[in-house]
Amino acid sequence: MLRNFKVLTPSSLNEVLYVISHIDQPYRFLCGGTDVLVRMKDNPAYAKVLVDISKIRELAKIEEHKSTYVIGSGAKHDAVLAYAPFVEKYNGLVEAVAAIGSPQIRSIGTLGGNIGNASPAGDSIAPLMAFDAEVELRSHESNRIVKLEDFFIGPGKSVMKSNEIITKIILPKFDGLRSGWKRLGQRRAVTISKVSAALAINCVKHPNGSIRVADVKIALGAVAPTVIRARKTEKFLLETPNLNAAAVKQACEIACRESRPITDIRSNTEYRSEMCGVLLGDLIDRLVFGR
Amino acid sequence: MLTKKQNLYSVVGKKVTRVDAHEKIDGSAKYVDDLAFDEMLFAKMVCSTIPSGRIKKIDKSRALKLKGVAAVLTAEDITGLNKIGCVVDDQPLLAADIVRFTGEPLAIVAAETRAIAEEAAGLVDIEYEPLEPVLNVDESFSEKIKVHPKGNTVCHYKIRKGGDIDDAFSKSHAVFEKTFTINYQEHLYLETQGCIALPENGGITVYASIQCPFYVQGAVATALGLPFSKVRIIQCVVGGGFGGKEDVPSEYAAKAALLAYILKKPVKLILDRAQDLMVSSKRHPMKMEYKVGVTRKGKINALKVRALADSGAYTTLSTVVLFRTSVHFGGPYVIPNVQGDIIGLYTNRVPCGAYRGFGTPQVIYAMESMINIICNEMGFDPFEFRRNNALKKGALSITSHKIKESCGLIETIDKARKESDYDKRKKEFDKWNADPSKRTLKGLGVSSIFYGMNLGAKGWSFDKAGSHIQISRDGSITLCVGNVEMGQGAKTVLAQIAAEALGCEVSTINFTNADTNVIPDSGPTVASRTTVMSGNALLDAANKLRKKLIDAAAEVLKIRANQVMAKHGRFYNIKDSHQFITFSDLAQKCYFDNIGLSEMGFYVSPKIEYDMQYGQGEPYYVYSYATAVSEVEVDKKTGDIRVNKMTCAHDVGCVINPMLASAQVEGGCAQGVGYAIMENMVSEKGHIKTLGLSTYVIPTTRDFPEVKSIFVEDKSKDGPYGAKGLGEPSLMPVVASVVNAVSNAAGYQFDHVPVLPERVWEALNEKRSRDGESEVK
Amino acid sequence: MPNKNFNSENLELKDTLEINFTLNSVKRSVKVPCTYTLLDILRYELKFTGTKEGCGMGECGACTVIMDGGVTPACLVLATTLEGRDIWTIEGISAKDDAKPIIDAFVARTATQCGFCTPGMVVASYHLLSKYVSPTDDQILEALSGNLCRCTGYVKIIEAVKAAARDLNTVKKEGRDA
Ligand SMILES: Cc1cc2nc3c(=O)[nH]c(=O)nc-3n(C[C@H](O)[C@H](O)[C@H](O)COP(=O)(O)OP(=O)(O)OC[C@H]3O[C@@H](n4cnc5c(N)ncnc54)[C@H](O)[C@@H]3O)c2cc1C
Ligand code: FES
Ligand code: FES
Repeated sequence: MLRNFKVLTPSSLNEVLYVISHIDQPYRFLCGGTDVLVRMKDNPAYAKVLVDISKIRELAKIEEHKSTYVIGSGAKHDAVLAYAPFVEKYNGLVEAVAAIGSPQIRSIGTLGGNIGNASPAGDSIAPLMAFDAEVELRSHESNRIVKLEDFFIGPGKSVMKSNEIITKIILPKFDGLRSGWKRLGQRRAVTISKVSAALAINCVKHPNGSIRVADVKIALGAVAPTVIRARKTEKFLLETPNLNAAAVKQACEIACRESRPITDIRSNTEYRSEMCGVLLGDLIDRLVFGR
Repeated sequence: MLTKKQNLYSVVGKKVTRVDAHEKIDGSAKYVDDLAFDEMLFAKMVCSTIPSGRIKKIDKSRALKLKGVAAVLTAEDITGLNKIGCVVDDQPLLAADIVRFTGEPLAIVAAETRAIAEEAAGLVDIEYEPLEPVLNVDESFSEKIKVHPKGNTVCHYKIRKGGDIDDAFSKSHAVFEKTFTINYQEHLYLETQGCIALPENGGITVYASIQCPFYVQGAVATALGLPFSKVRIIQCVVGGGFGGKEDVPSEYAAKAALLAYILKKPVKLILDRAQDLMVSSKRHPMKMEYKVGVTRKGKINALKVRALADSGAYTTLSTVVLFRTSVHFGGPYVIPNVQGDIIGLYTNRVPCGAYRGFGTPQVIYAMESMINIICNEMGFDPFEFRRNNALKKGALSITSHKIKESCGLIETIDKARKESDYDKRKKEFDKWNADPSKRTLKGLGVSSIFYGMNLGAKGWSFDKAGSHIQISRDGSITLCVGNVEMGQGAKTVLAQIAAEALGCEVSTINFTNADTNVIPDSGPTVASRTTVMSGNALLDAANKLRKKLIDAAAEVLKIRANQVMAKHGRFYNIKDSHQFITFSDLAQKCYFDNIGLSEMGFYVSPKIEYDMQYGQGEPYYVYSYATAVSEVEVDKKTGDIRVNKMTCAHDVGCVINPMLASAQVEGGCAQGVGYAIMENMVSEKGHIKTLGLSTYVIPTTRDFPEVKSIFVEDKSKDGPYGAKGLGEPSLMPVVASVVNAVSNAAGYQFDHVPVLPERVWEALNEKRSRDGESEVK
Repeated sequence: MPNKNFNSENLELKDTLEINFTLNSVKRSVKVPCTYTLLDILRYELKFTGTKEGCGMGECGACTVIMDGGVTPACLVLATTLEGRDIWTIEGISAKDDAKPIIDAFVARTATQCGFCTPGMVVASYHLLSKYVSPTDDQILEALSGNLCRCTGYVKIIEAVKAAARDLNTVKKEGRDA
């Protein structure tokens, strides 16, 4: 049972910013609570103060801008899944978010919480990172935009300062990218990923039948201390004159080597590393070759 | 078969809906945590954080200072005996000088709220002198470190049948050898363990989520130093047991009762999920060395088995669980030469005990894997091979029990083959697997089992059951039995048995939950014995009442007693069904004629002869049989396993309620599939790491296969209407058949359960590099 | 201290709080420790014990309720976040007319054994059927994927949901025809 903590209930973003710049004890945000409350039940020392941001309307919106979509950090997973432009153009994100937890978890859990939690297994992170998403960090004094790729520094750790909050996730608009996400877990539903991969890719078919990769973005989850971009693999693919079976195979091998997984209660190093390649291969098969 | 019975009986064999369905579906059923009493306190156990050590000091002072804490009790506060063992006295209620596993309770706290109790439990300071723990059966067997002063052997069952075993192997055409290991399985009843103890009438009343009220009564009386008559145990609606609520709840009830007795206030103790996963019993992990000799014609000629079971830190039920292992390790087959050694060993790990199948799914997995290997290597058809070796009437089991009746094994084998469409599927799968462009491999796996009914030779003294039936003057009926409803549908099946005998409608029957003040000791609700034992006890009472009712009806209808027929709430003239009296009118008549309509019933399991020294004789009076066929699909690249379909044929003697019977089979399949490919309890240095439902994972809706259940009814003369048990057999063949299917798909016999994708992937890689195949397309 | 634009009450660390919410269409006001979850409030404070606790960690679905139209694990809803919400529990849902086909189907198909998962299953099924009149098999599996059941193997539960959907559709059609 939860015990020994106190709650602050600021009623606007301004109040939140004020509170977190003045608070003199360690605190955590409470948004959907699906992560923070679970940890506190496990370990009552996890947080002594919660700042309840679940009711801050300004944080829950999803909006379309000229060249971006802006997702409030308090947007629930269900809201992301119901947002038509994502369903149309950001398949990778939708697939990942649809796989987070259970219907119960998705109806209260948020994207900001998934990012704020900074778990290498956070499922929304890989597709967001693959889409070059950025987060807006705000404090009473300042406002900065950080690339999601630069946001995480380790399991549970990020560059966010104690007086900052994630307000938005900024998702650039793209033309021509097809995307997908895939994972392996301990079972088929309600499972934490052992490995996950997100791919966004745009290929051009030459009249001679060869396939060139015009743009590609790959992110891998649960195989390093943070979710990572597979930059070397991307570079290899971009430079490949023809994306044939051999090239795909080589790309998958590079992806395996880019991962730095650990052995834990869910899986082991060798398997995780090898599966990065398998998942990437599957995604390429699906998105490029329609298999 | 069923149609014949439909004519024969009016309620038995019918799809009667559960008598307890409504209250469970609308949320009004009261589980123990749903009850509250005035001034009730909440308890929390303080558990050892190390696997082995001497307790140097327990300091309660910080905990006692916390506002709202009522008491912190340790071993010295126990008013009776500091003992909890239900078979052997090796376990303290609260550890006094030595802790033997991570999670062993050493103190118990009571406070005004659950939150305070939890906090206070964390404030009890314990100083240990850590000792080197024994963490696996091999270490334990070496006896280098002794978990208990008397040594590490909990029990050692020997089975010796036929001639010299080595001689028998040398005469066999082929000999196969393999060692298997299998991990824990956690019951994962959805309702965690819990109870409430109330001081009442100078004694203690306990409400609890339990399978065995009488075990709890004994444990509480011992711990408190009270006569049994001062200890009353009332069963609440049970949110799942599967064996996990057999002996284990006694531990919690005795602790809560101690607090209630000393503090003179009601005390509630509910385990949270993490603590439940850490301290409550599990299915025994085992290491099983198998050697099987086969004749040219495919007869099993010799079997040598040595199985080491991890009993954990205390005996609990190991001796009875492993007795069952010793009877079932050879499967339902005729084997002339057998040497078996089943050894239970202490370790510094959580005590293992009863779990659906009671020590048998492990060895069935090993034995059926051996058969799979034999069939694959020698080219036998898996059904033919099993058929060829199957127990049948007149044959001798590995304990030389001559099977006299009710043996539908071969029928289950034949039906499972036919209903699973095995031959057609096999061809399709072979073709599929030969196609390198396919991403998956498909496999079929078979397993057959037998299962001894009731407690058997090792537990005969507990193998009795009582019942009470009372008919009120309006004709409504109250039943009470000593075995409990824990979800399996006992109330419904027992109501059907009583209704059939009494000639009343099921809807007029009401149950009083098991209450030690009302019903005599009926032994435990385990071993799939409830239908048979409580069913027979009810028949005993019902038949006495039936006679009175029929006599009364004969008087009213002015016919002879043997002309009265009773059915569906009417007693009528067999020759003229228009001439009748309703059940309620008859009850009223009896009431005014001062004919008592209240009877006790009692039943004792058939007496059997068994020689414990060599494991020969009749370990059980009769057996249930089953054969299961699994279809699986394995991803060549990820090792991911999907169980697509299970076909299970069960010989249960008589199906009292087809809907509940198939529900049991489906539930057993779910637990078996989880055990086979998913449920992986990870422990490190004596600490269980998977203490939540997202690390110890069980199947969800998305992981569960299609299930087809088939029933064979080879009646047992001692069962009510011929029935035998089904609760455990439903799970037992599942693990082996799934693992065999995965093994057949992957072309590698898996020697460890659970079979996880990581292992399958590894095996497929090894096979590929062996076969020189370069890569999967 | 905060300037006048702030609502200072919100910025004080709290031990207990008073919350107002709607429970099964009845307005409720409770004063509880701020450490309570919705599940604690239901079970301890209001004695609505139909909602069960199987894990307390959002992992089992036994505590499923409907909050503002979404299936929600009551064990992970902290009291502070409850203000103004609309909550439906098994007690309220099972008394509703449009839930009757679900209850009846669960009874008729024996979609319960020990029953501990059942209230959560019924709530999740009710939510599903209020969203989709004729759910596909996949939608049913998905909707119930967060509700663990250790007894039934889900077979009879899924059958019951399908039967209830058929039943609800005929009721609706008849309603329209009349
Ligand atoms: C049963 C179960 C299954 C789950 N399955 C999955 C899964 O499959 N995949 C997956 O990725 N996750 C899973 N999770 C984890 C969790 O649900 C998700 O990470 C979810 O997105 C967290 O969102 P929340 O709003 O509930 O976060 P909260 O618990 O409210 O917060 C989580 C963390 O983020 C911080 N935070 C929240 N909002 C902000 C903000 N605006 N700015 C800065 N920091 C913030 C908090 O301080 C806290 O440390 C599961 C959880 C449970 C209980
Ligand atoms: S009790 Fe809430 S999900 Fe298990
Ligand atoms: S009926 Fe027991 S958990 Fe579902």
